[in-house]
Amino acid sequence: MQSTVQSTKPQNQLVSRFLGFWQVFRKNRSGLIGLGMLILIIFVAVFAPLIAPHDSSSSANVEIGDIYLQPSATHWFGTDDAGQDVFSNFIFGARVSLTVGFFAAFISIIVGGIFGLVAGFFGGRWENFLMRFTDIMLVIPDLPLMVVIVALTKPALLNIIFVIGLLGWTTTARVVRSQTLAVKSRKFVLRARAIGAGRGHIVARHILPLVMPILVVQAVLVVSLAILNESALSFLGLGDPTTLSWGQMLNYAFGRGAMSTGAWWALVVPGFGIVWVVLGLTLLGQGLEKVLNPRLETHHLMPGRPSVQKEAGWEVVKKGTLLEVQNLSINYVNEGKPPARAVENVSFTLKEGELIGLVGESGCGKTTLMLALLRLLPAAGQIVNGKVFFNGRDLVTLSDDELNNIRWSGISIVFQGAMNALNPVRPVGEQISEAITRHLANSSKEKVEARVIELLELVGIASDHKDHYPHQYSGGMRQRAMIAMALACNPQVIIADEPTTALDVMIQAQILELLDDLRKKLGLAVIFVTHDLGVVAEMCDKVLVMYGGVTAEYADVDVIYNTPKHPYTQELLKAFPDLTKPKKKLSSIPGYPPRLEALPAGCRFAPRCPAAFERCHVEQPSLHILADGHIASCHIVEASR
Amino acid sequence: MSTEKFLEVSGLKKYFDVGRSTLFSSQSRSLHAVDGVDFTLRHSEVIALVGESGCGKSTLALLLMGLEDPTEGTVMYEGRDITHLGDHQRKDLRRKIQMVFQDPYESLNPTQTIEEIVTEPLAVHGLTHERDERVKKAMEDAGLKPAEVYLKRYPHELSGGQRQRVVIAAALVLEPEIILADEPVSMLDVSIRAEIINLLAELRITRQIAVIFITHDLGSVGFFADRVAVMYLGRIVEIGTMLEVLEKPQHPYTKALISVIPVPNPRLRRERIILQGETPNPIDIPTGCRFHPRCPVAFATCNASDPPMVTLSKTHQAACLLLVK
Repeated sequence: MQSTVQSTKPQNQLVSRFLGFWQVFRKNRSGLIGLGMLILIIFVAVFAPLIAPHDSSSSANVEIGDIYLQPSATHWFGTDDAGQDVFSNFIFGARVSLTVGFFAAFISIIVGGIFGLVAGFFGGRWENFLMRFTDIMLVIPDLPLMVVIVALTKPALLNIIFVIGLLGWTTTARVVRSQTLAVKSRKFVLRARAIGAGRGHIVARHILPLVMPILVVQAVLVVSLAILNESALSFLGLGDPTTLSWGQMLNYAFGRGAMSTGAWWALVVPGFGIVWVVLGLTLLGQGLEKVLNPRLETHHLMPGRPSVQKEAGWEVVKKGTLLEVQNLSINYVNEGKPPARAVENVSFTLKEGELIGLVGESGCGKTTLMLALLRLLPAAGQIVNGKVFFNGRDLVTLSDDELNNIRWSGISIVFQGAMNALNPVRPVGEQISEAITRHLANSSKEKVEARVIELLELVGIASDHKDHYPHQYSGGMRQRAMIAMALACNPQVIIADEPTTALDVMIQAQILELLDDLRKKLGLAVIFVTHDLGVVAEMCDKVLVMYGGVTAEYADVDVIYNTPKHPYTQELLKAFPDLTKPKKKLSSIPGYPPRLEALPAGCRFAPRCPAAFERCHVEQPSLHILADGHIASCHIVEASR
Repeated sequence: MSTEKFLEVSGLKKYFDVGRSTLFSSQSRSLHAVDGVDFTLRHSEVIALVGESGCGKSTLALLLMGLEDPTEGTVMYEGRDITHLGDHQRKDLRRKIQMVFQDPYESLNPTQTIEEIVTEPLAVHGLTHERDERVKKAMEDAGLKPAEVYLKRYPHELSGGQRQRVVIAAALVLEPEIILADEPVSMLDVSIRAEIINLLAELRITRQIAVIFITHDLGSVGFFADRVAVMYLGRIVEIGTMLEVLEKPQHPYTKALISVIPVPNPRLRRERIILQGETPNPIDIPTGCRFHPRCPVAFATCNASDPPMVTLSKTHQAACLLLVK
C-alpha cells in the first residue's frame, strides 16, 4: 500500500502542473484555435483510410476521361492529372507531410537543444566552437543547400527527414543557449553548486525545467518550418516518388498542366492543407509562448481611467498646501474575482518644502498609492474613491492632456532600481535632455545642453560624465542621474520611491544628503517612500505609516518616533537594532503582512498585533484624530481617548 | 567558546584577469577582488564581515565555499588544507559549510516545490536515511512550522521572509558546522529582518553552527556577532570584538561606516561622516593606504606607505598609519 502511494506522487504532481497550465492556456483564444486546427488535421491523417472517399493508392480504374475532372458529387474536389480523387490524395498527403514535419522537427529540436544547452552551460571553448558553427549554418541559405544534398542523395522519405531535420536546428540552438545562459546566472544554480550538486544534476533539475517551456514553443515553430521545407523540396521535384505529400501534389499539378487546363482545384487543395497546418501551428505557438515564456509577462504601466464612485468627505484645501490627498482608495480588479482593496481611505497633505516619509512593508500599497497620484496605475488598478488636489486642482478628474502637463513638470518620480529605469543603450546626458525637451519645447540645443550640465552638477555628477552610458556609472551615480532627470522640469514635488533600497549604507547616506540639500536649495517638497523607518528619521517632517493598504499612523516625525500610538509603529521601532544597546535581542513582529486577496475581516494588522482583542478581529478600526495632525487607526487608541 | 582554530584563512587573494586584447595590443590587468585576507573562525562563533559593495566580501565567500579558486593563500579547516580540493573531497566538505544567499527571490528554483528544494541537498549527497524526518526537522528549525503546510507549495506562494527560511532550511538539512550568510536580510523588510537575524542567532546556540555573516550594514550585526571584520578594497582594515568595533572604532573607515547607520530617532541628530565618492575600482588600487583618497583624516605619508595591521588589544587590530607609533 505504502509503495503505491509513493509511486503515484510524482505523477500527481505532473498532472497538477498540467492542469495549472491548461487553466491558463484555455483562456488564450488563438492558442485554442491553433490546437483545434492541428488536432483536426492529425485526426484526418490518422484515420485517412476511413475518411477518404476513394482509395488513392490504386490507379487501376482510372481512364483517360477522368483526368482533371471538375469538382462533383463523386469527386468533391475534382481529380488530378492521374485521374485520382484530389480530396483523397489530400487526406493521404496529410500523413506524409505531417510525418516529415514532426520527425524532422524532432531531430532539429534534439540537435539544437543539445547544442544550445552545451554551449550555454559549459561556455568557453565549447560555446565558441558550437556557436560559430551555428552562425555559419545560419548564413548558408537552407533551401539551396537542401536541394543540393537531396539531389545528391536518394530522394527517399527518410533522407528528406534527415536533411530537413539536420538543417533546421540553428534557431533552436540560439534560443536554447540564450535561455540557458539566463538561467545559469541565477542564484539558485549557484546555491545548487554550494550544496555540492554535480553538473548533470544541475542541468537536469535546474536548467532543463526552465529551458523546457521555451523549447516547447520553439518545437511548434520548427514543425511548421519543416513542413514548409518539405513542401518546397517536393514542389521542386525532390520529394520521395513513392509517396504523395502536399508538396508533391503541387509539383504534379504544376508540372502537368493544371494551370493551363484551368484545374485550379489541383493546386488550391494541397496549398490549403499547407496553409492550414502552418497557420494552426503558428497560432498554437503564439498561445503557448504567452503562457509558457516567463519573459512575456506583461506589467505595463497604463494610465488607468479613474472611476470615482462616491464623493469624498473633505472639500476645502488649506492654504500653503501643495498636495492634498483625501480618502484615496484604489482597487485592483481581477476577472472573475472580487476586486482587491489595495489602498483604502488614505489621506495626507504636503506643504511647500516639506518632506514626508511614507513607510510600510512591501505589498502595503505604498507604490500603488504613489502611482495613483499621477494616474500611472497598471490597467487593472482603479481609483475608486478620493481626491488628489495639486495646487487646488483635482488630479483624479483631470483629462489625460491636462495631467500630462503636471506629470514631470509639477510632480516627478525617482524610481526604485535606477539600473532598470535608465535606458542602457543611450548616454545618460541624452536621456536627461529628453526629459527637458519633452516638456520645454522650442528650447535651443545650447540651452538644453547647458541645462543638462546644470542638472548634473546639481546632483553632484561632473559634467564630463554626460556622454557616458548607464553601465559606466556606479549604483550611486545612476541614482543621482535619476534624480537629475526628475528635476529636469522644475517640479514642485518629487516622489522618491525607495531610492536608496538597493544601495550601500554609505551611498544611501550620500543620496539622502543630496535630497535634503536639494530640498533646501530648490524648495522642493518630497514624498520619500521606504520600508525602513530608520532612513527617514533624520530628515523628514511628517511620517505616514501604512499597513496592508490602510493608514496605520500619520503624525509629525517626533510623535512617530517618540510617542507612537499604533501597535504596528511601536513594533516596527522595536525591530530596529539599537546601536547604543548592541547586546539587546531584536524584537520581531511575528507573521507576515496580509495578502491583498485574503485580507482579514477586522483590523488588517490584528493577526500580528500583540495587543489585539476580540473586536480587532471582527471590526476594522476607523481613523481616529488624536491631536492636530496625528491620526491612528486602532481600537485601543479609541478606547484610551 | 573554544579557542581552537576551526577555520583559518591566511593571505587569501583572488585576482581576476581583466586583460583586454584588441587587434593591435593586448594588455594584461587584474582586478584585485580579494587582496590578502587573514582571519580565523572558532567553533560556533559568529563573525560579521562588513564592507561596501566592491570590497570583495562576496568573492571571499565564494572562495571559502570553494566556488572560486584562490590566486594565493590558504584556507585550513580543522587543521586540514582545503584551499585546493578535488571535486570528490570538496563534495564531502560541502556538507560542513553551507551558504545562504542574499536574494531569496532568485536563490530558489521557481519550478521546484519546497519539499523538493529542501530534500535536494540530501539527494545530492545520497543521504536516504530518515530523509523525511531530516527535512521536517530542518524546516521546523528554520521556523517553517508545521512543515507539512509548506511542503507542497512553490516559492512564489511564499513571502520574502518565508523564502529566506526555505533557503536556510535547505542549508540546515545537511547539518553543517559553518553557515556563510551573504547579505541574508538586505532584500527583506525591516520587520522580517529581525526574525531572520534572530533565527541565525538561535541556530548558533541550538546547533552550534558558526556563522560568517556578510553585510554592508554594520547596524544589523550588533546583537549577535561575536567579532566584526571591516573590509575595504579586498582587505580587512579593522577586526575586533563586536563591542570594540562598534564602541571604540579605530580605523577612519569604520568610524564613517558607524556614523551613517540610520538611527530611528529624529532627536538624535549625530555628526555623520559621509565619505565622498565610492569604493575605487579594484583594478587600480591606490598607492600607500588604499583608503587614503576618501579618508577624511589622511595626511602626507598616507599615499606612500601601506599601513600594517596594528595590534590594539588581544582581539582588536586595525590598519591605519595614525595608529602606528
